[in-house]
Amino acid sequence: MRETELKEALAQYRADYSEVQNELKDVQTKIDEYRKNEESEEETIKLLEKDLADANMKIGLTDVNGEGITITITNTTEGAVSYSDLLGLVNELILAGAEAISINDQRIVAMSDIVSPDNFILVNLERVSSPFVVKAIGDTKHLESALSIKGGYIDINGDKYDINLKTGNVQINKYDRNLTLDYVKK
Amino acid sequence: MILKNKMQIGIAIGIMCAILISSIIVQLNTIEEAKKIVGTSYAEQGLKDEVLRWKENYEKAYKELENKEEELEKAREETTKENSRLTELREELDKANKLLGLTELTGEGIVVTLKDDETTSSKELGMSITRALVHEEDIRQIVNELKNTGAEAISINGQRIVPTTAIVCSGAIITVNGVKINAPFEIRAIGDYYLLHGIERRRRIYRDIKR
Repeated sequence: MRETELKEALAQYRADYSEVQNELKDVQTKIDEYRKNEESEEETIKLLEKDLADANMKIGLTDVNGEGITITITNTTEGAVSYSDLLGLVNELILAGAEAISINDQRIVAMSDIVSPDNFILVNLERVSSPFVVKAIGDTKHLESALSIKGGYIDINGDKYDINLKTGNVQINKYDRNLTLDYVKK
Repeated sequence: MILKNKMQIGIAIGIMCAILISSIIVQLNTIEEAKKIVGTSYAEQGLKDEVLRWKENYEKAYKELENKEEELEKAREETTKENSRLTELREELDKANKLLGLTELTGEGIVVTLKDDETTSSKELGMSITRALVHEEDIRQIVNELKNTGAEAISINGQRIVPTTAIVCSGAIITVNGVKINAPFEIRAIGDYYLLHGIERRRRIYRDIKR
């Protein structure tokens, strides 16, 4: 291994280590809270509800708002937005640190699919069409620069579609159906 | 005559001296070089040891975290039994954690393995060698396809797909959840076996692409 690679690996392990240490602290705090409130039903309910709300927010089962960006992509005579365009865009946004994303009000969750069985596009099996309004909550600077960078989404697709990027407070609605686990056992 | 001789001797000695000096310099230089090489390999060895030490630290901490998470689960279980409302809440939370990808899962499903094409030589492929490789786009498409066929949980080389998973190409390596993985790529999906097998159609397409 080269020296730079070793240094990189070292930095990575250190970062991972401190991340795990932080998580350890969080889990320990939770354990302590549960143990402390063992006798009080009310407190335990509160704890459970808090953990549940936290998890549901991350899954995408609650409405959320926060700083972020709104990109509106409209088809032009030069081209029509494809499903793989949107798939790539979502990937870019996640990479730039987006915590919540929606396309035409379809919330993107872990198992969200974007497909194009014919000439139309389905997100979460719901039909979406131009103009595509993609919202993302996260660090506005990161999100904006990830898309505006040379060779980024806007640079590559700006000629084909009409793209409009806005920053500011964003409201993203929840995934409005049940997420089922019928095949998962454990 | 004597003077001429003296001059010749002087020149000869001068040349010899010059050769000697230069050879000493060369030797010094090679010694310096050798020192540098030995020095860096020492430094590298030190770095390697440190990487290994931190790797061990990380792995230990991770194991500890897993144990703690089990403990938390137990704490929740113990504090919520004997109460239906609490049990109900806890079960909801369990499901949420499964959906979030925080727990290990098993169930029926399929395993898709993507390999670089090794049967065709680089010579035959010529400039189109990238066609013989698995790209991040291929993986993204397959994962998307598995989601479409109703997958409930997916992982790529052990990296679970969660809401914040990005699949990125960085040269010969692909990064999933910020972790580097390499070919062969093993994508596991839990869900209805027959529905998931719908992506067989894809495989035919992929074989074409890879050829």
